[in-house]
Amino acid sequence: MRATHLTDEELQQYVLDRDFGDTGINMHIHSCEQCREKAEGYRLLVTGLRNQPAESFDFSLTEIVMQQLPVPSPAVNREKESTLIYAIMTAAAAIIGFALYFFRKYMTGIFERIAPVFIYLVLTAFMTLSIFLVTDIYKRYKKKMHALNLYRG
Amino acid sequence: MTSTETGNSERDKYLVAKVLSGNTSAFATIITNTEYLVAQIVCKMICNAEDRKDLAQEIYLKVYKNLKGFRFQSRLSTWVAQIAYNACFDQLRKKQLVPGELTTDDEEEDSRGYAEETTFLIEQKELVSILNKGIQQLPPVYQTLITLYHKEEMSYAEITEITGLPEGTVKSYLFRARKTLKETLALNYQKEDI
Repeated sequence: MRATHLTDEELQQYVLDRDFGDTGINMHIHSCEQCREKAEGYRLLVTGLRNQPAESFDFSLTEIVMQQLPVPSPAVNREKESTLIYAIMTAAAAIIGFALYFFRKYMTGIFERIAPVFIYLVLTAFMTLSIFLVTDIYKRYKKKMHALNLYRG
Repeated sequence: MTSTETGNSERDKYLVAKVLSGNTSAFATIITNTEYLVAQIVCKMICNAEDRKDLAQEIYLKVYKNLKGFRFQSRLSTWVAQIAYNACFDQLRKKQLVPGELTTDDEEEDSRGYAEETTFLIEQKELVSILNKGIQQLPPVYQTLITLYHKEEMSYAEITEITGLPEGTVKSYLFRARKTLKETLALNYQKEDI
């Protein structure tokens, strides 16, 4: 059996844990009036906390929120939107294609005229910048997801 | 997973799918289903009535906006509660009312000794009233934790999910809050008063 009085931590554990199985503490509580009183105090506290009045809003939340919800855009608009995006992408690809076709004679041997060192330099700079950009974008994405509590990882 | 949780999850999925397909009235059901829990958090963390109103609206507009990102890794109500807690916490931070630490003075208690230990034969109504005042004096985060754990009988895991606090911190805050509240009770009801 415990010779010393129980700490508040032990008392709280004794009161809150229904399956509390520390026989030393159980025996001490049964024989020590001071600790029994303290435990009773905690038990009463827990009962009081459970019986606290529930909070509620003094306004109609549903009504207020529903008034502010954006009107869902009709599906037709989304279709139009995606058609427009596809049209822009096709036009861009066509322009690049035509440009490459018409200026093909200037393009041939373009890399032969540039010193390999310069090409490697540009490629290295491009790769380094890309890595930094992608890392930054990922970090920002993770931060936003954490803020919204959507990301778990 | 219990049958109730499965039921909740199925209902959540149905409601979320409805909202995402453009049925805004399904969102009214989500508000009705989760408003109680949100009120327990907002009312414990925010004192001003006007701020509560603005914040509650802001929370649900955020929920609506981010609903398509909800991955059903938790119950919908828990996810909404997370958003509510974070919104309240941000509000407190903005107003520089960052939730403070609660210190329990062991020495002070020792000096009072057991003379102030009570038998707590208090009328239930009176007890609730004293505790209510005591809870209001706790920092907002502690108030919320006490409500979620003792009133709403949530598990540590659920509280951790809502608040984002580590389980050890939740336990430690709850311990301190209970100790402080017990001292409040002891101060109000000393043996000789009973």
